[in-house]
Amino acid sequence: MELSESTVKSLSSLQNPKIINDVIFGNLIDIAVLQLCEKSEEKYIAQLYGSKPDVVKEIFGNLSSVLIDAARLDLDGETLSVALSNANITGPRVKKLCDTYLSNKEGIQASLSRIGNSLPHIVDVNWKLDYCVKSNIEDYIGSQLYTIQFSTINQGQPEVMKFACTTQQLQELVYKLKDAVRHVEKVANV
Amino acid sequence: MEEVDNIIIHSLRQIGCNIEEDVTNLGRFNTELVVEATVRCLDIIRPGLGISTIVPANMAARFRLGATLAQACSELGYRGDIGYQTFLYSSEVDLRRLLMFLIEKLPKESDKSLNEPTSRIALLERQISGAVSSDLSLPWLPHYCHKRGVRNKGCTDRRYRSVDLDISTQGHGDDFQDYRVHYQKPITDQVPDDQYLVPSLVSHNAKLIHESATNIIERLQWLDMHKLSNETVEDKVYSKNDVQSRFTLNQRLQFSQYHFVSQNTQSEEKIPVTQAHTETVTSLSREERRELKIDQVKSECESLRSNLDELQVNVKQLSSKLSQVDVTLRNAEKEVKDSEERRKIKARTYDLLPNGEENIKKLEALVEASANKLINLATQWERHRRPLVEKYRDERAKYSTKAQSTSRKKLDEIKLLREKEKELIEESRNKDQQCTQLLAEIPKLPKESNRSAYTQRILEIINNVRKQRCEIDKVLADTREIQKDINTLTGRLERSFTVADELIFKDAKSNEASRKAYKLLATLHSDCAELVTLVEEIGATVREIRDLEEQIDSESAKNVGANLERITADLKQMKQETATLMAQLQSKNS
Repeated sequence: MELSESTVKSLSSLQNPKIINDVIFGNLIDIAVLQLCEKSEEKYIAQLYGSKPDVVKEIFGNLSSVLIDAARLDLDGETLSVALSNANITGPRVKKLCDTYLSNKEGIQASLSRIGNSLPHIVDVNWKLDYCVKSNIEDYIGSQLYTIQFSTINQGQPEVMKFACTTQQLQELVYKLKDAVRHVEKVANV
Repeated sequence: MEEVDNIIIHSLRQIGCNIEEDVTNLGRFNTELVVEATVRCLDIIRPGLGISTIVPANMAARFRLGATLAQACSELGYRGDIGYQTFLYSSEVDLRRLLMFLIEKLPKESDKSLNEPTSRIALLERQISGAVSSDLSLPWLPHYCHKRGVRNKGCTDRRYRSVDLDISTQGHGDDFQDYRVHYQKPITDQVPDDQYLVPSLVSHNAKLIHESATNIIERLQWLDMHKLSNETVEDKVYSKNDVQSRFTLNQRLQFSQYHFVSQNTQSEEKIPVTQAHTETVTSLSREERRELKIDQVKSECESLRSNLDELQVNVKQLSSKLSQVDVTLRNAEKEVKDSEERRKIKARTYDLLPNGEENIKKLEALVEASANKLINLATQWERHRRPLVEKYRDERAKYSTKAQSTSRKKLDEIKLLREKEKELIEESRNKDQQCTQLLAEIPKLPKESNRSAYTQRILEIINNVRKQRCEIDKVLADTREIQKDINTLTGRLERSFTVADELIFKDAKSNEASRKAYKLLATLHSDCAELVTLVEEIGATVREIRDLEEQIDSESAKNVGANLERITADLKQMKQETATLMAQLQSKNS
C-alpha cells in the first residue's frame, strides 16, 4: 500500500494526543467508517471541531482515504499496520484504527463494490406458454410460443426485459445456461 | 497380540499421547490413558470436537464423558459393543478392537501433503474456486431480500462519479490558514451526494500518489505554451484552452457563461422592451466572433506550421554546409603547415647562401664525420652482438631439448591432473546427488523401516498359520481314518456276532451248554455296546469341559471381579456425592 506524503504528514499528527485527544479520535474513526459504509447516522464531523477545525477536517479526510485505499487493496489489519509503521506511524491509535478497519472491512468493500458499470442483473423470471392455433395464412399451425420476461436490476433500477421464442430456441437457451452452470462448477472444483 | 499392541502404542505416541516407556501392552492402560488416547484420535479424525483429555474427578462428569466418547465412536461407524463402560472399566479385548478401529480411521500423512499449491497462480485459482463454490452454496433469495454485501456481487448500482476533494496540507501562510479554519468544508460536505464520496476518495488517493508525473507533463505543456505565444493576451488564453485539459475547458465554459450573463444584464438595462431580440442578436454576434477567432487561430497555426517546416529545411541545409566547410578548413590548415615547413628550410638555405663554398665544405665534413661515427658504431655493435648471439644460440640449443622433455612431462602431468580433477568433480557431483537423494529419503525412512519390520512379522505369522493349517489337515485326515477304521470294525463285529449268534442258536436247541454259551454271548454283546456308549459319552463330556474352561478363561480375561470392585467403589462415591448434595440442598432449604 502506498501512502502519499501529505497523508503521512497529517496522519503522523495522530500519534500526538495533544493535537487530537482520545475521545475525538474515537469519534473521528466511527464517523469515517459510518460515512464510508453509508449508514446514515445523525453524527456529523462538525460536532468534533473544537478549537482546531482545520486539523480535524484534514485528519478526517486522510483517515477516510486510508481506509478506502486499504479496503480497495483487500489488506488485512496486520498489513495495514505494517504499511503505516513503514511510514513511521505507530502506537496504540494505529492499533485501534486497524481493529476498526478490520471489523468494518466488509462494509467498506461492499460500498466499493457497488460502484462501477455492470450488465443488468437478472433477479426473476416469469414465463407464459402460448399455443398458436391458426393465422391468416395457415389454417392450422399448432406450435407453442413461449413468452419470457426477465426482471432485471440495472444500476439499482428495476427493468423488465421481454422476449418470445419457440420451443427449440428456448431449449437452446437452456442448454447454453446449463453449459454456463457446468463451467462455473468446473471453476469451483479446481 | 503383542505385535498389535506395539503398533497401537507406537501410533498413539506419534499423535502425541503421553505414554510412558514401560507400558508395552494394552492391559496396562489405565482409565486416564484410555480416555486420552481416544480423545486424541477423535480430535484428529474429526477436529473441533472439543473434548478435554483430562478425566474429571466427579463421577457423574466421568460418566458423561464416557457416554459422549462412545457416541462419537459409534457415529464414526464403530460396530462393536460400546458404551461408557468401555472407557471407564475397560477390558483389554474391547479396548484393542476400539483403538485399532480408531487408528485405522486416522488420516494418512500422504493425504495431507497431497496438492499443496505454492505458486501464485495456483493460489489465485484456489481463491477463485473457493469464492465461486461459496457463491454456489448460497441458497436462493428473492432480490428484495439481498440489499448489500455478498449477495450483491457483480451488480453495481451507481456509476463512478467523483469530484475534486480538497484535503489540504499545512504550512501555507495566514490567509490560507484562515480559509482552512473558517471556510473549508469537511469532505462529506464537499461532495454533492453521498454516492460521490467513495469514488472521490479513490480518485483523490490516486491523484496524490501519482502526483509528480502529471506535474512534469503539465510543466512541459506550460513551457511549450510560452514559446509559441507571442500574440495578444486573448489569443493566448484561447490557445491555452485549446491545448489544456477538461479542467480548463470547465473554466472556459464558466467564463463564457459569465460573459453571457453580463451581456444579458447589460442589454436588459439598456433596452428592456426588445430584450429577447437583443439577446438573440448578441448571442449570434458572439457566435460569429468566436468562429472568426477560431478561423484566425487556425490560419495562424497553419502559417506557424509552414514556418516551422521551412526553418527545419533551412537547418538541415545549413548543417550540411557546415560539415563541408569544416572539411575545407581542415585541408587548408594542412596546407598551411606544409608550406610553413618548406618556408623554414628555404630560409635556412638563404641564410647559408652568402658563404656558399665554405658552408658546403663544412657540411661535407659534417656528413663524413657522422658517416664515420655511424660505421664506428656499427662495428662496435657488431662486436657486442656476435658473442651474445652465439651465446643465445648455444643456450637455446642446450635448453630446447631439456625444456622440451621437462615441459612435455609437465604437460602430461597436467593432463593427468586435469582428468583426475574431472573424475573427482564427477564423483563429488554424484556424491552430492546421492546425498540429496538420501536426505530426501530420510523423512520417509523411519516409516518404511517400521513397515518392513511389520511386513516381515506378518509374513512370519502367515507362515506359521500355514504350518498350523497343514498340521490341522493332518489331524483331520487322521481322525477321518480312525473313523473309517471304527466303521469297518463295527461292521466286522456285527457280522461276526450274527454268524456266532446263528451258529450257537442252532446248537442251542439240542445242546444245554451251547444254550448257556448263547446267553453269555448275548450279555457280552450288550455289555460291550454299553461300554462303547460310555466311552463316547466320556469324550463328549471332555469336550464340554474344554469348552467351559475356555469360557472361564475369556470371562476371567475381562477381569470382571476387579471391574466389579471398581464399579462398586464408584457407586459408593456417587452415593456419597448424592448424599452430600442432598445435605447441601436440605441445608439450603432449611
